[in-house]
Amino acid sequence: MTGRGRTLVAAITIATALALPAVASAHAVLLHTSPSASGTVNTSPAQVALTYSEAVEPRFAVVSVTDAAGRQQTTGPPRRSATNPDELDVPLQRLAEGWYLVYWRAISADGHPVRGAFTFAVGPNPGPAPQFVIPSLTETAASPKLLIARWATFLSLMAAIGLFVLRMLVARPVVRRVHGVSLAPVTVAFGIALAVSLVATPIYLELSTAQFARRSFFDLGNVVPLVRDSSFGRSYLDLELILVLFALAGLVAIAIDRPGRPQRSIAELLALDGALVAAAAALLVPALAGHAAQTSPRGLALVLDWLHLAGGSLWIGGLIGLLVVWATLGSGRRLAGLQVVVPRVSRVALASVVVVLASGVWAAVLHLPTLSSLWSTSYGKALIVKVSILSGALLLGAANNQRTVPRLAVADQHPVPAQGASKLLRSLVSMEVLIVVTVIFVAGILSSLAPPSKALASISSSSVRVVPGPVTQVVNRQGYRIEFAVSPNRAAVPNGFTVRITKNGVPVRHADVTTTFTMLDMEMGQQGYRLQETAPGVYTRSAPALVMVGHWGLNFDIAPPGRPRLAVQLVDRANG
Amino acid sequence: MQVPESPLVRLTLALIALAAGAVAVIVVALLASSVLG
Repeated sequence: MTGRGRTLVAAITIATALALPAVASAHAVLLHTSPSASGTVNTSPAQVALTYSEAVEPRFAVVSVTDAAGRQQTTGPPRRSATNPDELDVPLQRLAEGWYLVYWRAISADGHPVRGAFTFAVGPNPGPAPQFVIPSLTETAASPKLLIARWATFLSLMAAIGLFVLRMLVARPVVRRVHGVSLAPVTVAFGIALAVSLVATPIYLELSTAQFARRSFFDLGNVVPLVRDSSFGRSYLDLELILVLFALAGLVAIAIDRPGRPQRSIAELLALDGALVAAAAALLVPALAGHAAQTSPRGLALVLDWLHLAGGSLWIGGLIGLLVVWATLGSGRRLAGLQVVVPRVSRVALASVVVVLASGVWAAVLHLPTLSSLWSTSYGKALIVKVSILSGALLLGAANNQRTVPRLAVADQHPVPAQGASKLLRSLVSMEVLIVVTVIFVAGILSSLAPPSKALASISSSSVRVVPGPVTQVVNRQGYRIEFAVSPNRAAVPNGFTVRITKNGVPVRHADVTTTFTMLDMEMGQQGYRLQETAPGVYTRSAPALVMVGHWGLNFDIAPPGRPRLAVQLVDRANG
Repeated sequence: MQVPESPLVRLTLALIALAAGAVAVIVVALLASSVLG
């Protein structure tokens, strides 16, 4: 292909990737409830209906409806509405007058649990809202068992693909150039990584599905039939199928490969292409099953995720392969073999690291709404840890390039320093492998955490932070004294919001005061309310706004008559 | 692994490998279309 042809292909590929639908739904969001949150109904409802932004699987959903004493009021499990696929219905027994707490938990398309709670009352005289105890909200996709399974899945997949590329493209010339050298040990290492991958993937899938369905891992009879019921499960089943196809194509490509000949035959090229295409397909599945497919613009996020995994695969596979080559060459041929393999692996590793860094930084820009979310959110902190550990591997790689590669290159003239360089190479590469393996574990944690909500970008330095519990906060802006009160400032109960506005000690009357509530910990729809003037300069509203535990952005928009508008943001934390 | 030197056998194996790659691409394309809607 000519240079112009390559440029055209690259341009078409990038344009196609960017043209993919740009709107991503992030996590499942509760859009509508019946009965309405914090509302009062006059007769006992037959069911609670929850409408989400996507079709959540009822078998992975948990919906509890409890009274003030904590007694369960549901008469059956959640089921999908016959008329709306995005709606879950939960049948109820006949409810007495009083307040009820609805707690829900569902699994999003990327495998992350999302949850929330709200209350409603059955009237006509339900009485005051009680203090409900919200069920534990600590469930996460980052449990130790899942993290280890995810790590084994990713590490074995990446190592298998990297070792295959090393065997077929990078280290192959050594067979022709150094007499008596065989790449069979690299093939064995590839086979082991592939076998581990073929076993780890279904185990990880079973573990995840068992957690979604809140069942035991060993309850295979009930968990296995549910595997295809989640988008995440379907993706990893497809990954297993693609891995089998990659194993078939890869083993055929290796079997018919004749590395001793200077040129590949047509059959060898066809088999190699088949295996490489299958490997490329396998590397796209984690992106489709994870954050990338839920991040706008999705085309770009998917390309970046694929490049990140592909670069990481070549890196870890190259390093492991280099150790295998080192250990199996035998002292007689080691220097001559390393002289051929090391410079080629180094060049590939350098290119891979550049791709890993560039795609990682770009993806972080897509995932992080603000720079401060890098250190203020769990996702950002995990990213910092990953980059810090990665820099250790980069230093070792740089030391290898500086110290061992030049000495190995002149091994014919200076064999003694080259022997030392060979031993140093083994130590440095071993440490680099350990570091990259650790980085892949941290990457597993990172992909298990929900990326920060885009709403965090709305927080500015002028925002006022308040703590859980009843809040009274005074803010002075443009000559106005504005006193905010939130009570009881608890999640899942009606809260009273009061704004008292004065200027030079005189109440400001007839202002237009609205409040918008934005969940900052996860993607959720915004709610907005207008406050009524209940006394001169005092604007109040009781609203079911803080529908779940966590951080909320309360944006007060105040328009005094005939004066410029004022905007004040409170960053609140509501506890259960 | 010893594979017969026969060009026909080698080409048949290569086509099997190529077909495996093509099926993998189809599987991932179907998955992408279902995920991306």
